[in-house]
Formats: sequence, structure tokens, C-alpha cells
Amino acid sequence: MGGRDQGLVAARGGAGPTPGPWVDALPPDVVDAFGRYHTCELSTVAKDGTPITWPTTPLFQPDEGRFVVGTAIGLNRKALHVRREPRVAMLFSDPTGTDRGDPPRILVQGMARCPEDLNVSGPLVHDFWRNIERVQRVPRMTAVTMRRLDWYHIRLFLFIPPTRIAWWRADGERHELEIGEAGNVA
Amino acid sequence: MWHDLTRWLASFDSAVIVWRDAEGYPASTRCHPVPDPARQALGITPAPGDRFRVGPAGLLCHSHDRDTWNLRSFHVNGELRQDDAGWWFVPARLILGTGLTGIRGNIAWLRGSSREARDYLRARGLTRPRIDWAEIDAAKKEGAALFEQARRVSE
Repeated sequence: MGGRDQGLVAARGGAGPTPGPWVDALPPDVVDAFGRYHTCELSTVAKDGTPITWPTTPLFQPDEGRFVVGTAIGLNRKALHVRREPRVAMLFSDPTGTDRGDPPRILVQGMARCPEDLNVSGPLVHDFWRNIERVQRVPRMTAVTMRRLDWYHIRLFLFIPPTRIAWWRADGERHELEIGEAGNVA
Repeated sequence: MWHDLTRWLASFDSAVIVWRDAEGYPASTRCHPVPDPARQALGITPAPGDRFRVGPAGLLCHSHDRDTWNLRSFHVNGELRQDDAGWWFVPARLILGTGLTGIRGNIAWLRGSSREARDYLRARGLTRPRIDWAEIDAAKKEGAALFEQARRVSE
């Protein structure tokens, strides 16, 4: 992988991540696609049971066997949703900005967890902002924007280990992987 | 609402429809909704392997350019129904998002989000944490280098 794809994983130093069992069980083009898409559509469940979908830029952590979605405390509905109903879905389906042809369309379903931690520093925060900036150049912060947009930089993290991954290539055939609680392939 | 929905829908290439599967998980797929004014509903054709289910549903349209700017989006709450003619999304509530609400909408969004953050902290008795701007800036610089590198490769 090269170019944009170098931001694929949150590998920190050393020889890179050791994939979890479910990552090993996926075809390479599906794993590669997680880093090629700039956005995915995260679906959560509202209090009344209606599913709501949000465009997001997730961080793929194969060494942890999960995806991470960060949301600002001023935009906290996603977090409140998963604290009440942890079942979520992530659809990787908009290839805008990806190079080298169309990646597979992928649907990830999982049980999300959103701790109360306010994340403003540390390795995961570092990887999160690096991943955002890899797909979207953001103007440098000034003293004024730091003061007015501090709420945007106080993040809640949704941790999403998959329970099922389905994918479709150009032929339209559905492929599926069921994943157990420990991240092993069922 | 129907007029506004179909007008905005026409400005996007496709949409994402979400429903709840038999196990209660959200499930979603990309689709090309076809408005039916008589039904006040959008016809949705499932792709092979999509397992639609009657019940509460949502529709998201969003777009961005190759550098993830010029963001535009809207969401519609509603319901998936099925009859002899196929699958239908029946809209109930249109929520305009980024890029569709104008400058006034953007200002209201910023103010509302700032207020929401303050209320979130207050409701939990939390102190506003000090942000390590130097660390965040360093992370963003690393990401920016990857962005520029990718741009050079693709050009």
C-alpha cells in the first residue's frame, strides 16, 4: 500500500500491527478498502428505535480488532445512542477520493461501546487526528479558533468490534463473515 | 416536506438507506431512490443480498469532493414498506445537514454545538479538559504529510 493508504492503520512504530483473527480471515482487497475510503456511513439507533445514519471518517485498528469513530462532545447524539443501544452498522460505499478503481462495498455490523472519557491527548487521540487530516486538509488553528472550537476537539470515542462483515464486489455477489465475541471467526 | 425532499434528492447521485435487520442491528446499502408523487414515497430497489425489512428506516444523502471538502448532507427519518410493486421508503421528517443550510444555518450549528458541549459537561459534573494543542497539531501535521504524499502520487 502507498500514498493515501499509508494512513490505513493506527500502527505505532515497529514492524506494524499484528492482525486479529477476523482481519486474517478477510480477503486482502476488503482489508485494504477500509483504508481507502475517506468516509463511511455509521448507523446508530435512536431512542424511538429509528436507525439514523451519519457520515464519519473512522479509524481502522486491525491490531485491536476494531474501528474507532470519534465524535465531538457538542455533537454527542451518536454517543448517547450507542450507550442506550450498542448495535451499529458501518457502510463503506462512497469511493470518492479513493484511487485505483472501485473498492468493494462493505457493511460492518458490531456492538459499539462509548466510555465517558473525554479524549484530548494520548496515542489514540494522535492517531485519530492524523487519520482525519490524511483525508481532509484543515486550516491551521489560530488562538481564536482554538478558543471557539475547543468543544470540537474534546472527543468521545465509539469503539466498534465487528460481529458481522458483508461485502460486495463488482459482480454483486454477497460475501459474509460472522465474528464471535472474542474477535474470532465463528 | 415532499417537495423539499425530492428537490434535494435530485442533487445527489445516490443515497444510503438504513433499516433494522432481524437481529435488531442497523443494516444499510447504497441505492438510487425513485420518487413516486402519488404514493409520497421513494421506490427503493434492493441490491442482490440486501435483506430489507419492513419497519423504521432512514435515508442519508451525503457528498464530498476528493479532498473531503464541500460537504453536503441531509437525513430523512421514515419507514420501509413493501407491497406488490416493490419496496418503498415513506419519509416522515427531513433534517438538512452540512452544506445545505446556508451561512445562517452554519452559524446556528456552531452556536448550538458549543451550547450542547457546555450542557454535556454540566449534566455530568465534568470540568472542561485542557486540550494539548501542540500534540493535536503534531498529529495533524503527520496526516497532512500523508495527504500531500497521496496527492503527488495520484497526480
